[in-house]
Amino acid sequence: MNKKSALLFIQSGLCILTALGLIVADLIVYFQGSEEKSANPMADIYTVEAITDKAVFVIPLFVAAVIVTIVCLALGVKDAGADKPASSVDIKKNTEADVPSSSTVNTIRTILLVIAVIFIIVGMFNGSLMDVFIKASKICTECIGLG
Amino acid sequence: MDKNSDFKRRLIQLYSALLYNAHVKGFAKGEIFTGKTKAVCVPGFNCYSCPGAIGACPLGSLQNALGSLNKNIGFYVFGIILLYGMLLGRTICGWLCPLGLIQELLHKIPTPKIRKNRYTRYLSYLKYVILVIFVVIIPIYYGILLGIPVPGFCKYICPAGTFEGAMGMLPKNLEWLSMLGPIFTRKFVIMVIVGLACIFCYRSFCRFLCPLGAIYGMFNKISVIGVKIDRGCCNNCGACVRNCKMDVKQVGDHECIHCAKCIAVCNQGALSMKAGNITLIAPKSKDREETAQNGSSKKLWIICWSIAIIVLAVMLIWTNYTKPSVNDTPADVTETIKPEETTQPAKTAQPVEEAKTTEPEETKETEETEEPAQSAAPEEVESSAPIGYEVGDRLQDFETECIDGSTFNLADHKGEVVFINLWATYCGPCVKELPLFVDLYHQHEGDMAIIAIHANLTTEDVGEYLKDKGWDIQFAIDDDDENLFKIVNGSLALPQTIVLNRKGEVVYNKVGSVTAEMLDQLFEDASD
Repeated sequence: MNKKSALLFIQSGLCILTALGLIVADLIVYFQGSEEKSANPMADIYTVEAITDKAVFVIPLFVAAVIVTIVCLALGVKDAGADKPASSVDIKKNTEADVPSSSTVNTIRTILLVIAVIFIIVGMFNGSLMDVFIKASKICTECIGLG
Repeated sequence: MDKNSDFKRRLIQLYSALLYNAHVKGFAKGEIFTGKTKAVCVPGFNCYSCPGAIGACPLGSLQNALGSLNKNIGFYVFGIILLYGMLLGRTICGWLCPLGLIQELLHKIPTPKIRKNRYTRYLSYLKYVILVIFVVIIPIYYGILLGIPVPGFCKYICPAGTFEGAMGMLPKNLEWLSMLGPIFTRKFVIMVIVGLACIFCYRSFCRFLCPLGAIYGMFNKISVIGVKIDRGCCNNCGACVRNCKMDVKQVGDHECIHCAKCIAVCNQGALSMKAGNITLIAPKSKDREETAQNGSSKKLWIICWSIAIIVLAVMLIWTNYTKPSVNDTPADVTETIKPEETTQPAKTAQPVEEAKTTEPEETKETEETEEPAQSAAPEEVESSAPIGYEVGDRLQDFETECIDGSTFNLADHKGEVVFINLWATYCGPCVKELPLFVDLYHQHEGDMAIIAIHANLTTEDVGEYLKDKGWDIQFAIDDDDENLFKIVNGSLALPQTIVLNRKGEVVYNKVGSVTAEMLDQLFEDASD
């Protein structure tokens, strides 16, 4: 194993460890918090203190991963095989692509364009435009993972 | 694709990410944008709960539209997705998606990479399963059959929502930590796994999970803009497919994101990026020959970029330096009512005269004779706390007309525990928790009051909705100026619960769902 490969190997390890650290820390905070919440319904599962306590173990890994990334980028270290053409892939002939003829495509496009425009105009009047606005302006907490 | 074209693509990705999230000050303030542009779905994947977002996410809007098909057919969302698909197909994924950009940047982290193979090809079909189950079936099942809006993909999977929405809002809204629970834990884990996968495997989310890509992929063969094949020049050497990092079988199929990298590896000059008949990126072999065309293409680029920069500048100024939001943010306005002030919110919110409560000693004697009912409140319920919405403050009195025609006057409920719930019919957790409030009310009827205030924005007949549900507590709808929400510091996030003790002092005011146990505990705490 040469130095470049070793660096890539270390970087992989750091990325995986950081991710694992984040997941484990998150799960620990959750399970400890859940226990407290089962005893006291008003207790919070996630608290700043709990997160800070657990994040302390992940931050050094993250910082190390960032440093190694900078070193790798500075030295131009990367997986040489990443940009090589793939060998074991299923290839269909481009000339046999089942693309409809240009006149058919144009007809389909025109029909879709007309339908799309009609839908948008109808949507402006039937309230669906307003629905989009409402949902985008009021956060449903569970929808973004706050729950 | 030469380096110049690659740079152009990166620039366009950055541009679209910035344009979608032009509300930059939202990140600093931890507030979402509520201007009128929020009604416009952006083409790429960008959570509308991101503090910077100035448009709506097409996938989130689609799920909401499907979940409310029985109320209102979402023609607008269907139309706009159709339009984007027909014009751009998955060119959106390759050029206009902020999440695509983030994935590509993560993939730049130098590690050994997993190249595409037959297994990744199989995995690429997973996004269609996700599309059917989480985007179509779950919202329709919960929304139409159970009457609870649940955007399945947003709630259970979307890492963009967690990264842009939750992570974007939490640092500036630390009190929201209290509402985090199993959903956050699960989505955080998914986000980390997706992020890690993107480091090792090119655009993992795009290839394996993204239902929006799956939708746009269906339009790929008819989209106006994209990589097109000159069949007369192609010799089927397969260089394009082998060099592509996506799981394509041929150029322009449903997996192709039209990133145009294949153009540079096609020695036959059979591939080009076109918008109808206009060549945007010329085939490799013709690059040098068509200098005249390059000249006109350059002019076109300059014109396009000039317009784009003007648009971006306008959006940045409009969203950050003017006040385009439908309503001023509640936090700013409530600052003005926090001190003992007597201004009356308009229309539905009509606070009773502050003098009665803020200066009880001076007014007691005169009022006792005029309005014995109001001054009959027990002596011990008088509070000297300042008016406000935070725990320990005394909530400003208000009066509002309820949907059932009755009137709710907060001053009439001194001596009782009062629960105020902020909700909306289109908010899944709100609809799920309201029956708990109804149960609580019946357990302690006579000793407590509850009012559920619906957000002012709605296209639905809330009265009809409530008749169907049969909930028998008092419901009101906030007025256009959100005066009721302002009094309790109503957030841009729902649901929110406010609990007042017998003195009218706030003992709880938090965003997030509550459980039956929490409600019991809150009642006990407020009763003491």
